Amino acid sequence: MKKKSLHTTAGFKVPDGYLDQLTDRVLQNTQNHEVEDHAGFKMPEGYLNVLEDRIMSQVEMDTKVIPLQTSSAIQWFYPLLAVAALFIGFIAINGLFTDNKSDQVTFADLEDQEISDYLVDANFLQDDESVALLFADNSILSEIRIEQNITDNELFEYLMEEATWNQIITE
Amino acid sequence: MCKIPDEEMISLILERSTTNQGFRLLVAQYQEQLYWQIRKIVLVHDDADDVLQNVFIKIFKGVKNFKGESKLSTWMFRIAYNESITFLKRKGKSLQLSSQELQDHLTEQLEADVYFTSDEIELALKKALSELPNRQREVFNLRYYDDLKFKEIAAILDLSEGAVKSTYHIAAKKVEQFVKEN
Repeated sequence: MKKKSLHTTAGFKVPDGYLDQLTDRVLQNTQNHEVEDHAGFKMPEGYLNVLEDRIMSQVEMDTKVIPLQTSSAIQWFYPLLAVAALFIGFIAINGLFTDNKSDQVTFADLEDQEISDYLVDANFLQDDESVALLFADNSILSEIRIEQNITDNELFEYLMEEATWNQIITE
Repeated sequence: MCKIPDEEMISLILERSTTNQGFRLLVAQYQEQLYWQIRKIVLVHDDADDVLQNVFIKIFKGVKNFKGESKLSTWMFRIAYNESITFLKRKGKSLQLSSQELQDHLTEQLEADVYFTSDEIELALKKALSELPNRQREVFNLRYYDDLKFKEIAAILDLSEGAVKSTYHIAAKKVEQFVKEN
């Protein structure tokens, strides 16, 4: 009260109702000033309240690592898959980086002795099937025509005179 | 909300167990400043919202490599500026408008924008700014509205301080002249 009296006695006066409206006017001016600070732009009401959560969910979504498979039921399968992948990789690499032509083995590469050893080991000439196979491309048997009875001795003497053993085997 | 020192936030982000907590603090602290900076460039709220989210994703990805050679805010403003300019270029391309035509188009839209004040002076100022080349407009915005120092503007725009001063001077003269004539 004393203070108010002092102002009055100093000769200052205020318009009627000025102090009643002062608070509202100051607040109004503050709000206007805020609008000017943002160059006349306004943002939707409550925008900033949700912005933080929206940005955080965006960031988390953008940087989230998606697990391949979390089911424990088939986790035992992964080591098998890994081994299979390694095996396939090994086969593929060998297939890709080795010279196939140089590794191919042909019949011509075999030594005679090796063939002979194989035939002995496999008992190749012990059955009819093997004999048929051996003479499959050979016409010697079909060209033999027996027109009269020939004894074993006559045949032996003929072969000794007319053909060599080599001819008999190869023809 | 009390301001948390940048170094403290960066430490939290760099620590794996508190990365999200630290980044949330950073978002809370800078979201509004960055929003207004972007909004003054792209003008439309929805566009500013899109750009702002991209900016924060870039900040999140890049903050681990932030070396502290400039202030964190300057570094982030620079990202925001680059993203905004890139956005405008893309928008101009999609609308098949040149840079100047796009500015005219955006300024025309402002008159009907519910998120823009109906203040005639502000609208006149926006029209004047739309007439400026991009660089002059951006320097003017950062200095006049954001009240940044020339040195900070130079760091954000990767210009020399002298170039920023002379650019601002030219921009302010042009704006003044435009407002007088219109």
